[in-house]
Amino acid sequence: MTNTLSHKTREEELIALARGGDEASFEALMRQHQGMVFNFAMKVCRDRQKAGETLQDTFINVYQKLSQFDGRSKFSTWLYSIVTNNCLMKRRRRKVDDLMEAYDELPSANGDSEKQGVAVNWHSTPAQDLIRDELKEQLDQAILKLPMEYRVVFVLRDIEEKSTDEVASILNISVEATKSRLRRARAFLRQQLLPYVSDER
Amino acid sequence: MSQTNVKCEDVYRYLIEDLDETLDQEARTMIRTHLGQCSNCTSVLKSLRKTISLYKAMPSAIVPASLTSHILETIKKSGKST
Repeated sequence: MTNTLSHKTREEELIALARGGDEASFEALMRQHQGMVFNFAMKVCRDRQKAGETLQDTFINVYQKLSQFDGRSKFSTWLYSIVTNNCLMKRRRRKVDDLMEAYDELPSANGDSEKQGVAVNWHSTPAQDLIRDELKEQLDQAILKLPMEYRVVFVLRDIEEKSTDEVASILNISVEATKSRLRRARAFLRQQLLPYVSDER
Repeated sequence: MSQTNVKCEDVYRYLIEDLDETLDQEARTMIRTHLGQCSNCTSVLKSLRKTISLYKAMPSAIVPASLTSHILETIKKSGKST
């Protein structure tokens, strides 16, 4: 297992060398973090092509802006802010807050669903492959309907498990705004997926 | 907020915002008490947790080696041209 202190020192060393124009150090830095960036982009875009473009845009930005990284935040936080910004650049502009306000209201447990619970098991058996594929499609469709500002908060906080403070810092928004977007995003996705997540009983 | 006469609307915001993970002891007790008596809020909480767990279960993707090489080449070229 990697020692945290030596790992951090090695990372700082790579950043310093890459900043000085050392190509091998930049490449090592990129190889160390590209999985995180690509997977984050996959979770947000739900599309390999777009995730690949986002990965490229992000490391071009890192290359251009590395001298601006002052080390006050974690390198990963800085990297998340760049990849998130690239995801946000891809969004369609619209008045998202107006659209999302409805998700502040208390829902009934199952009442807003026409269908009832569908048994879902991620452990694949041939008989369940169709259900699993259908579920994946539903998960993709639901999150893609979520405005990008909300989607990135949901992915950072609930999937990547960043703290609310770190999400606010990555997005450069207030903690209150972060919580509000998270609340609405969770409510929106829950409602979209209600047939799959509500109690059967 | 008093523990008696707690309404679903009061609990909902706490529920969806924190999923009772970061709440102080008093709020947590209030929510637990309410959940013990309210099947609607219990179902909402369960379905919220399940929604998140479905998204979390998405498997990790590996960056194709050809993509890494392509990006590094692009960056090297851009570095030389500026």
